[in-house]
Amino acid sequence: MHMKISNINIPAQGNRWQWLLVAVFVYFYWLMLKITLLYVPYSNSVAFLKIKQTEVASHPEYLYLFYAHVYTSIFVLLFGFMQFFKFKTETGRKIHRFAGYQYIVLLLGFAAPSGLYMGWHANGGAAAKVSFMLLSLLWGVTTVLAFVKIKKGQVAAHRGWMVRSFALTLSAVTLRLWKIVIVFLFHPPPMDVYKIIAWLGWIPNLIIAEIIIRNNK
Amino acid sequence: MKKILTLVLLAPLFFSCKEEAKQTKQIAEVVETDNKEDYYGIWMGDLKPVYDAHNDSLFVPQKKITLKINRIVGDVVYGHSIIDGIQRPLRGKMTNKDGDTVLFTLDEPGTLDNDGRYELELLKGSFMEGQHVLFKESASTTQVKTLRLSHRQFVYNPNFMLSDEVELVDWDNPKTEKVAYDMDESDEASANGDSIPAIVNDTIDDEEYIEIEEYYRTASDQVFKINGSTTKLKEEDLKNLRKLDLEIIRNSIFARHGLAFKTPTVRSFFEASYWYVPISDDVNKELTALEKQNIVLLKRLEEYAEDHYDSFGR
Repeated sequence: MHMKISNINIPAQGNRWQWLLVAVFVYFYWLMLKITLLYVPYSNSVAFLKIKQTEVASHPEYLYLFYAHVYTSIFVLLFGFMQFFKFKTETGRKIHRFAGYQYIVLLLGFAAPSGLYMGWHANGGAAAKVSFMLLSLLWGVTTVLAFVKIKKGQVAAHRGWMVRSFALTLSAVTLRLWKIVIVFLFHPPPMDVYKIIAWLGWIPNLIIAEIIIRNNK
Repeated sequence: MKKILTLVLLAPLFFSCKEEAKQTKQIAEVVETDNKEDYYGIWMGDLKPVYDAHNDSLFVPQKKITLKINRIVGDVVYGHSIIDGIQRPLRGKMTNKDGDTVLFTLDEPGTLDNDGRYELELLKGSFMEGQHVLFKESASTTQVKTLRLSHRQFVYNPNFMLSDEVELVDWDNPKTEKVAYDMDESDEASANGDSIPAIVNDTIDDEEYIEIEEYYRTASDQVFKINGSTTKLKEEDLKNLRKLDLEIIRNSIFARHGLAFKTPTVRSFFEASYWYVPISDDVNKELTALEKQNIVLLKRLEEYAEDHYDSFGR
């Protein structure tokens, strides 16, 4: 099966760059997987939930939605990444379509709605809440549009919306990266960090997505 | 047969009971004539090293010491000493030297390197003064130390807060890092009390300095405001605190009950507060229900801060 990362125009495009990107993704996917595995087996008071016991106690639905988010998002990240490989065979196209449906169903059915709910209960006050809820909404909308465009056969538009959607998916990684950088440099109190990364996690991603889309026109 | 056996077994019990009753009666008489209970309780002060000729290269810090006199039976004295959060049992003798002076000779068990004998002289109604002599010579400390103790009372009060005159810096656990900033910022940072940089090495690059700093954890002023003994703490109140803050708020609860801390940093924080009287190495039984709840919560947030504050995650 011939595989190639599709038309994202990276300067000096070539195999080396593609595989470097794959390596970087695999590394961060591994980190995200480790975080996900903190929540296996199921526990109501592990890791992030250690500072969410107020919500866990007062909102019985919180844990269900939290776990829906954690357990589906890790697959959303994987299926999303798979969409950027260009498959030239019939099997390849089937894989692309299968992964695409998984991405849409898991994202729109679970990850984004639960993200919206958790955004409402987010740490860090109004600033963080607005950011996370906006992120969830945009995540859903860009994904719906990507789906609609391919159903209409508008491949270029489909690609554009998928780039935006996946840029927002990647905020899971970039938000955590920014956190390390900010804590390392300034040691702010934890919720001050949280307010900053809530926005820094996805706005630059979206800007980069727009630049990529423009370069590919 | 069985009955006889029980009787035989119980007989010494009756006997010992009588014996004990006789003994307590005796003690009561003694106490009446010479009120030994006056010496009971907590004696606190400083333990100062006495250097001799062959340990001139040694530096031994002055330490806080708590001495507890729990019971005096006849002339036998039972008590505890607490230094560096380590509680040692004491047993010894007291004698009336003359009308106004009482001598105490108290021994630690001798199973630890720092065990020794206290020889103290109490001028009635005043200080207890004397020395502590190690049983075995030690390379790391002086064999003889002097001490002067005053009689203190321990009374639990949930309202006590850490003295805000103490500098809340964890000097014992520095973290190293590279930071780039210009001079103005660095001054500001230390003025804010956010970080206290100790410059190890610096390279001058026009206006910007790249420095390798030893970064010491500093607590925020929330530790003077949040009281885990009087208020039911909520996650919301504590989320924005760093690990050191949470640790201090939790340890304040224990300090109010007189826990003798083993960690030097924690000890130094509380020794600056006038109300802090270390009386025991285990105060768990004294904690109120509210305090227990708060400790569980604080501990959970500390764990979260430890595992997640500076790592890849949330």
